[in-house]
Amino acid sequence: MKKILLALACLTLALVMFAGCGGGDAPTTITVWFMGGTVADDSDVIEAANERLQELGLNIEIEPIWQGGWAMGYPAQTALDTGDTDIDVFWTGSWGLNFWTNAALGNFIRLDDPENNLLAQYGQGMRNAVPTALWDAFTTAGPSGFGVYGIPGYKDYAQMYAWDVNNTLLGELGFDFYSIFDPNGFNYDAFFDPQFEAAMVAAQELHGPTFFPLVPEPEMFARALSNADFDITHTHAFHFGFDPRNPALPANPVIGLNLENDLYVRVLERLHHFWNMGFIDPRLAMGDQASNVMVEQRNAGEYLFSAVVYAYGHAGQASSERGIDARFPRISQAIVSTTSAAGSGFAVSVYSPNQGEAVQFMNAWYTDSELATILAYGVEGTHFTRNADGTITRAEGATAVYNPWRFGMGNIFVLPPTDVDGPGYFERFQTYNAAGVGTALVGFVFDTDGVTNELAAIASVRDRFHGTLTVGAVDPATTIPEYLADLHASGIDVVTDELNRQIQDFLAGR
Amino acid sequence: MDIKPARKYRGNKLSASAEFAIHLIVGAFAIACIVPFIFIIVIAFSSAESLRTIGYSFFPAEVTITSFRAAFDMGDTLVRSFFVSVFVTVVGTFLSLLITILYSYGLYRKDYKLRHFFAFFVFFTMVFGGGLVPTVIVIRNLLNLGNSFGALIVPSLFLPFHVIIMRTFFVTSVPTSLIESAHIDGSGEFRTLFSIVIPLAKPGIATVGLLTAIGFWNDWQLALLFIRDRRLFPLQYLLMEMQQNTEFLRRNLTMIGSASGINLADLPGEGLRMALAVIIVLPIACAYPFFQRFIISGLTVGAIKE
Repeated sequence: MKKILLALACLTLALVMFAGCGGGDAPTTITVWFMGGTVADDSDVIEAANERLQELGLNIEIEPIWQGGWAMGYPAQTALDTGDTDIDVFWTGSWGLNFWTNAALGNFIRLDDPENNLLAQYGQGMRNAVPTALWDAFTTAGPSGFGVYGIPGYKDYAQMYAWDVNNTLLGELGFDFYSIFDPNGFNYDAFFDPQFEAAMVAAQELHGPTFFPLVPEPEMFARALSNADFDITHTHAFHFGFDPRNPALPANPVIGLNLENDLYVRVLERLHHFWNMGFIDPRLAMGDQASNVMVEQRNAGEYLFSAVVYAYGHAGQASSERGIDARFPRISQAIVSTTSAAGSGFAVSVYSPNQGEAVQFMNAWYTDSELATILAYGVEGTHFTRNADGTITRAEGATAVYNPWRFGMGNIFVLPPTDVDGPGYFERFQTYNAAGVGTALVGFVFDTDGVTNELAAIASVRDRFHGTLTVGAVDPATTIPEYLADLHASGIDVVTDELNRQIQDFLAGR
Repeated sequence: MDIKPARKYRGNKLSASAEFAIHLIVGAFAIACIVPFIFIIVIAFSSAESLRTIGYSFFPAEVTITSFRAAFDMGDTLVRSFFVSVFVTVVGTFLSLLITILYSYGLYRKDYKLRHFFAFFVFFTMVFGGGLVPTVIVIRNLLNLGNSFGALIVPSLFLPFHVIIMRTFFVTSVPTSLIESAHIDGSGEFRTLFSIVIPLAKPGIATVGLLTAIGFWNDWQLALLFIRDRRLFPLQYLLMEMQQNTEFLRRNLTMIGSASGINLADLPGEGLRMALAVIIVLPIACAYPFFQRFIISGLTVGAIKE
């Protein structure tokens, strides 16, 4: 009996030892939840990426999650809320899975935590590869103190308001683009140009009264034409105005309300005039339908003027998609704001059991062109081929199988451009980014803790008025006083004071 | 003394006007139920141009099958999701029925000493839920069912409400004396259940079965919580993801910016989403007529006291 027991004990010990040896060699799997894209089959790509990780000397394998697509924020937030330990890295940003909310909730680890500085240990390469301004946008307050809670995606961080002009139609109507827009200037006042209105009259005469030449995006249109940054309180009530020629200069020393800004109100009045002329599709005033109608009108090229938040390369893309000559004269200088700088990034989950390895993987991905190319475009020879001029050509049908959102794939500046982009694309892109001017409040994040009730009440008021007012459907002369009265009754003055107090603290601290 | 002639006994018979009014109300309700589905079918057959120019309409400017073609062009994704939905519904319904019948039968048997104890469990969990986070932790961490068919089936296998319905069917349609007779004749417990009780309770089983099947077929929440592998997405989740995807991008244009490499023209249109909805609804709608006979008799069981 003793011999049997001894033999069993030896066997058990041996098994434990072998199990230990095996465990040491097994690569750590890092699960990364990506944003957007269309991926039907990634098996070849992940195999190639894992081989590359081994070549780089990392005992790590990547397992991507594409669930949710562009709306990944919903399932990913559920995973975070339920403490999912299977996911190590999440895409995050100012839209989608909200970076600041999750950092504040403690869902993301602080990467430069003085007690465990993973960024210093494993992430110096990516720290150096990405501009400091972008790291600033991912630096915020969290349970581990004020620090870096996310890894910024390095893409188009400068954004610009621009007109979206159907120049093909404008030409057919006999109008000269250059007589309305100055390609070298800032065209926020073109909206008040008599020729602007005359062109729309001519467009309706040509195509009939069901052709709507002006496509104002609710909320954004009036903001763009009054030179204001995105309202970081998300209430659309505040006017974060800047000088259109130099966005580093704030328009006013304190932040006020949109409805108390002269230029903003003038834009609304003009919009209402155009609404009465029948230039705007009535469906734009119908909440849920507005975005669909707007996108469809633009995609079909059935418009004359619109305005967009423009990012680099959009002109060529829009023209080819719509089959028209789409032009995008600037409304203001390109800006770098908190919203644009935090447009895409990644964060390590606090529930991840492999936090160090996750940062190691991110560092390799941000700095190694070959690994980044595999993950962005697929496998060479299968999904793309390389050209002599340094570009790549996607294989026919490859994008139907593997087509992640390239701009959301970490550091896009280590990638080769496609033949559609053309040689030197990323160099031109860098120049565009560099021309972006940081707004006075870049890096500022509004802490809403003390004013959540007021913000909820303001959002409720906004929902009643804003959609119709900002597409010109209602008369500003009668609506604005009523809107303002309700805003004041809902406590907006408290929010204004708190907002400006925090801004002053931020500016003083900087 | 005048004797009034006795009024003719009319029983439950309604007057013609009352019957007409009831038919009108029930008819209007039936139309209100079916119209949205007809609308979905019409939109699925409307061209993108028609949707853009005249919006939703029962009379589209142009009828096309483009949306269905686009849905079937999804190829593997659609077929795989269809298979997942069918597999989960068939296996889930079978297992759920088996568990529900076994549990309900125990509660039905008056000679089972622990029936009050187990009845309390059913009632308690019907009134008080565990909440999302504990449920997720149990399924994902304790049972380790994440990213598997198990995650789509196990959480819905046992529904207290169905146990109560089934137990009521047993009580009202299977006399206790029949069980006693079977025992006297030498029938074991399983034989009594499967050869005597279940055939008698067919209407109840069909009712619970249909409810369970619809539950499995329509579920997308379990996929949202537990499934990360696209190959395991059921049809409903595929549709929901597509819907959320499109809505999200269009609503957040301002935040995203106009380019960032996102091609809005590639997003699935309204027609495609409606076509998918039609494809999803059809199989379960087709299954209903086969259950209808049982459902109607199931609903009347217990209506008459003996």
